[in-house]
Amino acid sequence: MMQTSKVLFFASAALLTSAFSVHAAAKDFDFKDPKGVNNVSFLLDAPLESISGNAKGVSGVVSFDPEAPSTVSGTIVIETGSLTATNNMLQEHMLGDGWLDAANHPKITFATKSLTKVETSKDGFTAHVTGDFSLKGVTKELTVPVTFTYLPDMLGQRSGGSTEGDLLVMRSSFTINRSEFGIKPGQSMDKVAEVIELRLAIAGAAPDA
Amino acid sequence: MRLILRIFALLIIVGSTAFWIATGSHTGFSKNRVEIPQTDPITQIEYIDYEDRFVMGVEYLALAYGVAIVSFSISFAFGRGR
Repeated sequence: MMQTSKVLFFASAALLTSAFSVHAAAKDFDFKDPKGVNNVSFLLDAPLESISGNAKGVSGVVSFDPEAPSTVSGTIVIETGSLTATNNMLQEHMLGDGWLDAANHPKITFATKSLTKVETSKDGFTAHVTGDFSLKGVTKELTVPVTFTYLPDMLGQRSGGSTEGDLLVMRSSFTINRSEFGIKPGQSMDKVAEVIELRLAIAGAAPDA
Repeated sequence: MRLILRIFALLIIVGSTAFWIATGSHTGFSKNRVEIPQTDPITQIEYIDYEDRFVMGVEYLALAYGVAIVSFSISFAFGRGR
């Protein structure tokens, strides 16, 4: 009887430990990038004018567990004022109160809610991520395809050996309609396209504890 | 005066075209900065760095050609010099 109790005790302890270790494997990846690599590029291809540029003011934290990738969650933030175009006048107009109104709406955010169509690949997985996308004070639920690439123990190489840890790379391409976010709906359609193509390529770092 | 205006028109056309070609023959609007594509060696993320450099666009070329056409047209208002 005593022997059975001992076995049960150790089995329970082992189960609890393994359950805790799976939970503990989730890491927070910080997407603030001092190297200036993380970027979101945009393209508006109108009949008379093609406008393109990118934004590097990326931050946010994503919780990711390599053992349970479908549990990924977090928020990505882009500073509206970091949107850069190749022409100064165009950039001033784009960030001005008539268009993106960066002074009053300084952040563009995407907060995850759920994942579907999760498929594993060679270095990670792909999924359709549903979340709340906020732009110019308007929040809409979007579902976007995202490719996750997990790079264990690669932070050291990227930081020149100063910090060891893991990297998580996320890539996504999707479109939004500017009228749905109150960006001059129906105006200047010949020069500023209704559809905004967004391409996101960002890497987050999770330093070893 | 007739000759001066025509020479001015010719110089405008030649000068603006040469400058447009020298700054990259860009067929879009002018740029104040130029994209330099880069790739991060660890993550393979492609990103853009910018170099502050003026690239003449077609709007300035059209403006220069317009000025040249106006100058050439005005030259007809002056008689041939004797």
